[in-house]
Amino acid sequence: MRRVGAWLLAVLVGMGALAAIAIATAPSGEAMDPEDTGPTGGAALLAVLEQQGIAVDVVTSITDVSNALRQRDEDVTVVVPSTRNLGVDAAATLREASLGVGRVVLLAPSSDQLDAMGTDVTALPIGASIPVESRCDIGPVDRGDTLDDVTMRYEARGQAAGVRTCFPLLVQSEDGGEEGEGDHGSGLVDLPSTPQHAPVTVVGTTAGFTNRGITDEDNAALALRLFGGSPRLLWYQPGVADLASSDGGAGGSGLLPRWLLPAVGLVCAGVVVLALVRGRRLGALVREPLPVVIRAVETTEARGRLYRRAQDRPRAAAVLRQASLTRLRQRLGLRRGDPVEAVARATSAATGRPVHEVLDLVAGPPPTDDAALVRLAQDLSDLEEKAHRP
Amino acid sequence: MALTSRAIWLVLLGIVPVVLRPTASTVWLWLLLCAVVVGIDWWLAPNPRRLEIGRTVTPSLRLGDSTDSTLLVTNPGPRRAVGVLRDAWPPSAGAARTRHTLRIPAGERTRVSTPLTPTRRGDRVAAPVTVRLRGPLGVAARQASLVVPGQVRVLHPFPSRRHIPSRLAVLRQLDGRAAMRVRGQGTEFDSLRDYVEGDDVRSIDWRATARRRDLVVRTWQPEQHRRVVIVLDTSRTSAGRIDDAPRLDAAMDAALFLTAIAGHARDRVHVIAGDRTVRAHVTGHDRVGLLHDAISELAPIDARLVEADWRTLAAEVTRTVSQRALVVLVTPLESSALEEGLLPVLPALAARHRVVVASVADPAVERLARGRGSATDVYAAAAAERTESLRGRTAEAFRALGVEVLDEPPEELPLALVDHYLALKRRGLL
Repeated sequence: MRRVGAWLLAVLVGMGALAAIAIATAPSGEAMDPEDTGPTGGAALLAVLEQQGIAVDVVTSITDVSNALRQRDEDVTVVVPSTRNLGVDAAATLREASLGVGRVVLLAPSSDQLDAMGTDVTALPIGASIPVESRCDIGPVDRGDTLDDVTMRYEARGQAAGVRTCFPLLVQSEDGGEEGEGDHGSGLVDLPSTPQHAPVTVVGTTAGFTNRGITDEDNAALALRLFGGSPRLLWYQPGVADLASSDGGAGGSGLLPRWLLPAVGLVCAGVVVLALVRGRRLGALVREPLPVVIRAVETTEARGRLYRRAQDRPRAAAVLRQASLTRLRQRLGLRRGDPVEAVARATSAATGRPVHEVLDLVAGPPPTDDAALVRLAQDLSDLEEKAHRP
Repeated sequence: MALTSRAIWLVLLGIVPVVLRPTASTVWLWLLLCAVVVGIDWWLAPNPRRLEIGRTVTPSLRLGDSTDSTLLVTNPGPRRAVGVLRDAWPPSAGAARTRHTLRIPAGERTRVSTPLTPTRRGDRVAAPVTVRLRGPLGVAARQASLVVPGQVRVLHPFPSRRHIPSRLAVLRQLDGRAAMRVRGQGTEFDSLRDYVEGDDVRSIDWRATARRRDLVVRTWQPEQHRRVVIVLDTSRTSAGRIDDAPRLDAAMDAALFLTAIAGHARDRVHVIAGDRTVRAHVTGHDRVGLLHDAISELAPIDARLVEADWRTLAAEVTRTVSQRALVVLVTPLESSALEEGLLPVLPALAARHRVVVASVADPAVERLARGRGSATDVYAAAAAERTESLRGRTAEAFRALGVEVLDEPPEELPLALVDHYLALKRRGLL
């Protein structure tokens, strides 16, 4: 039972260690993490931007974004390189906070997020990761640039003035030509500033600007031009907390019913009462007057251990020989005072073994090691047995 | 004051108001309400100290038997008493079920009994009876521990009593029905009867034969009204355990067996148990009463971790008997203890009385002495041989003083002792 328990414990500890290693070494999972130098991280782009002399400020919560943008500064570009954790409320807050900044760049946002940003743009997934040619010439984008790893396309609704689109998605027509430029959405939408929002640039790729994708086609140049348009860059990497909606209470407690906390307190009180109920014993413990009972053979065993620890072979052998001699004397009808030689002669006569052999056994030199002592003890009992059954 | 499990449910019931009005103050108010309810219930609970409890319990029983401890609980109060009663006993009293449910209407009484199967010899004293009575709501209870005296004396199992019939048969053979082959000093003339083939010709009474035509023999009855003093050593050496029982239990078995047989042989028996002091002294004329007294008096005696003071015990023997007696010293042959304690006083005792030393031998030592398997075994065997030789030396020293020494394992010691006694009786050597 104990072995099974030990095995179970070992397995549990092993599993725990594996889990700890897995958690510690797993990639953060968040694309464009500014500190991640892995394939999905954004450390390469960030490093190059800093080399270019751009002051990059990394924040991970919408509150920090609001604080950082308190004074309206034209020289700031706000980049949201990963929109996965950007909640609708966070996006709305971002819209408000970013009024007056130089540019807001959103990578692969969803329609909801775009709506919350106050833009009239619809996001549509492509379902593939493809390179697209620019076919336009606006500030950060030159004609002939190619953007790789585009995964989203965007369509601007309505006829707002000044909306510019680049990287249009083209569909191959049956006769081999390309048709419908702009009908199928585009990989980049640039929206001018309106009273609702700052200038917004929506780019339909995240993977294209990661450490892995940044070197594809013209991605690096596009990224630098998009992100490095101003002397300062606010790199907003939304944390998990920004995903939550803010209505119905702030933070995580809004998800739980309001009576839960008092109920937990009540249950705690119940546990205290349980302790009181179970803790009151029905009368005192009864004392058992135990008699002192030691095993009688204990002293003898202890003496044996003493002999052994002292390696007192001469004494042990002498005691065994003396005991055998006493029994042989009784058995062979000799008196207690008879010399050893007489006993040896009588034993030799009874057993048929030579006198000198018997004499050597009962009065020889003491054994020199434990094996010899065991042998002597066995020989003595053999001799006695033979003498007892002539 | 005690709470019941209903109190927990009462507290947890507060979940309803908490859901309806989810604030911390609701919790506090509810807990206050619970406290008030518990307080009222406690106030209304009947007081357990008012109950009248009496106990009846068998005063003594033999180890291995069972008995009942019965409590008669009377409720004189105006309210129904509902609750739990615990009849507490020490663990070795072997109480099977100590908790009893009480449900006594006002003015009535009930009987609860706790079965006891003691696991050890000695006196078992009942612990206080604890009663917990619930209030009318059953969330709180009043509790009190009441002293209700009671005691069970667990007697020695006396396993060798099964040998009594066979040894009584031997005793009857000695008793006047056969012509004695050997006449000792103490044998007494009993009667004359016709010669039967097989009788010792030396016991033919020629004078009587001359008066009649047939051969007549004299018969002798073994000596009677001799004194037998059994001294039980309850010192530290008797505390040693052999197999499952302490040496003292085997010694008591032997002492009780001899008491039974000697009582039947119409000898005066004294049983003395002691170590530094005399802890029990049983004597009596009536043989049945004597055995009963001896069993009862020896029951609570356990070995103590002190050295025996043989001077005190010898003085007690001398005070008890003035003329020559058979003195049986039941003590383990522990050389160091006996050579320093008993040996100095033994010559004086042996000069006045016939002394027998009965010792409980340990079969484990003998087993140890046969060990030949490994070096450890052989060292242990040497130690066992050493123990044996020391015991032998002590026994030799005793025999040199004319003292008989019996050194037997626990099961055989009672028989050996009684057989020795019968042999002495047959030879009229008492």
